Amino acid sequence: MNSSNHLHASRNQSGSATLLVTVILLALITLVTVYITKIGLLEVKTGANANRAKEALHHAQAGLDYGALMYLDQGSTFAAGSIAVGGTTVSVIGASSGGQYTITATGESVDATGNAVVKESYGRIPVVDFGELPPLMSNGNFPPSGTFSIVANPNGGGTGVPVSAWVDSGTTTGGASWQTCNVDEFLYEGNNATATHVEQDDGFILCDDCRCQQATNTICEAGDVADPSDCIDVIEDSSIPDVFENTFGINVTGSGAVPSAWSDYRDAVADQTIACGDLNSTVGDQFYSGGDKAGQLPLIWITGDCAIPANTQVGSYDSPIILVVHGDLTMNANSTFFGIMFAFSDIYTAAEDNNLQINGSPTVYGVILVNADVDLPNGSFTLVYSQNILEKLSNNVADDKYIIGRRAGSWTDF
Amino acid sequence: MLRQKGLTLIELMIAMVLSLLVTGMVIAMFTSSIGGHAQAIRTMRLNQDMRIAMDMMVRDIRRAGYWSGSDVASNPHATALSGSLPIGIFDFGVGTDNCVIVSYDRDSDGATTAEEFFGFRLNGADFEALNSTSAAVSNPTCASSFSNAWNDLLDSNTIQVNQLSFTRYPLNAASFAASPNKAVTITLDATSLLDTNIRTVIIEEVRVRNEF
Repeated sequence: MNSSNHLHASRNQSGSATLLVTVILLALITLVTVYITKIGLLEVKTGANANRAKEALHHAQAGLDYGALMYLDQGSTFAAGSIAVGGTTVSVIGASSGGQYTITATGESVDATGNAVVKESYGRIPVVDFGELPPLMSNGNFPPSGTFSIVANPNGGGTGVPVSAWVDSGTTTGGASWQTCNVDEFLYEGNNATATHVEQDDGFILCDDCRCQQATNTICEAGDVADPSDCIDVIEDSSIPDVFENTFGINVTGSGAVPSAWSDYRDAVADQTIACGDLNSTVGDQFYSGGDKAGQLPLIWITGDCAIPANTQVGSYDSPIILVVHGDLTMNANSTFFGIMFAFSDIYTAAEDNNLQINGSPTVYGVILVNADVDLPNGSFTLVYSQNILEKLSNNVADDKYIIGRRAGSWTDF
Repeated sequence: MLRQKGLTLIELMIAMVLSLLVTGMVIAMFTSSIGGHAQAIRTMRLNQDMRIAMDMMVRDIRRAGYWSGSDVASNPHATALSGSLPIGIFDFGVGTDNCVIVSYDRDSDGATTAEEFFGFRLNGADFEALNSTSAAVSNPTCASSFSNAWNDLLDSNTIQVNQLSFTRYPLNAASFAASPNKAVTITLDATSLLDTNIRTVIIEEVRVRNEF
């Protein structure tokens, strides 16, 4: 009996050693596995965290883009909004300060544990901005002769620096008797004081009979200088930008230019349905509030010669127009024009040189642009710069005529 | 009463051999499991360290040129680096395009002097980072002296960086400078020194959000 028990015990012990070793090792493996699993989980968690941070950042960025679009569409009346992105809601806040508009977007990861805030500032710029134009801009010469008055852009060369003309060449080639002056002298000095003044709602004063010549103090006059370029308010600039390019922002001469782009711009933007004979004092009304073409750029493009008859008013102070004549442009006695008058020659794909001819004593309130030479104005015309008129032209343009500009260096995620 | 039988020597030996085999198998399983786990840990460590380094580079490059001041033309960070750019990619030591320096207004104080520079470079096999925030440096390169020294970002005892390179998009340096859409591709290639069979390459492309 004892012997039998001993034998059984011996067999049991042999198996139990194996079992013991196995159990201990398995226990160790289990512990190690648990440990490594914890480390693995940590790895998964940190990886997932990084992923959530990226999710949140990209969601916030989407919010920023949304905010920029809303700002483009609504201007600074857009103050706050939200957009659904990838199953989350991104809140977008906009605020104006210092002439710019800062959009802040707060994005979350899909599980709402990751969070990112991005900010960027924007500006909303009209496609066209005529505020920087001088009264007369020409890729050719300053008018070589004639008896005329130009009322300067008082801030054309910077604050308080008047500019009357910006031309490629400012040398005298013929007899001339012209004066340039500031608006106060134009309206009130000498005989100007007794001329008929017509005050507009915004305070601007129209005076068809005023002349710089009648003022005591002019900025410059033909008799005092050898060449117009000697005047402080006449800028002679051999590297003057192309007038069409400068006005409408279409690259037709610079590097990478498409010379024929001027006709694409004409077809895309300008109204070509109005004929020269249709030009009158109400022609601009249709482009302004309540008109059929309200919100459209009041750009009338006439192909072919156009003569504005004597005693005709084209456009009005409240509804000025941009008139581009691709042909000879003649303005006759006692006619009045409100807006921008552009004598256009195709110097980009052809070698045109159309005439700008001014007869009698017409008055232009606004700007005259010529992308070739100015020809002989043989009358005594008056060109009165008006910032208000130019702003009306720009501001009339509807929202979709704006572009949005990011302020470089304003993007931040902290 | 049955006759008691003992184990024969043969039986005993077979039993011992079998138990040895089983024990051996378990030990082999154990060691290979431990080895596998150790390798997994090293891989994770390498990946985590590299991911952190990559995230830092991506974030800093993305911010290059930020300035909280109001007048765009006065932004000192926009032109702080070579070629009047907010970001510079340089050759350091024997490598090519293995160093980047960016400048941005980290404390958002709108100061008109660029005195905040952040950089990453490969110095031999060491991955180093720069965090210099208190002194203007004119037209810095990766060899310039800054207010703070370059510091090791990764443990050079456990991680050997084989390659760190920054590729501009557009590729041509002049086109890159002129482009309003600048992007940089970062390649980080490293081996774990704890197990040289473990090697990871991470490539990320980041766009410089502040366009100039």
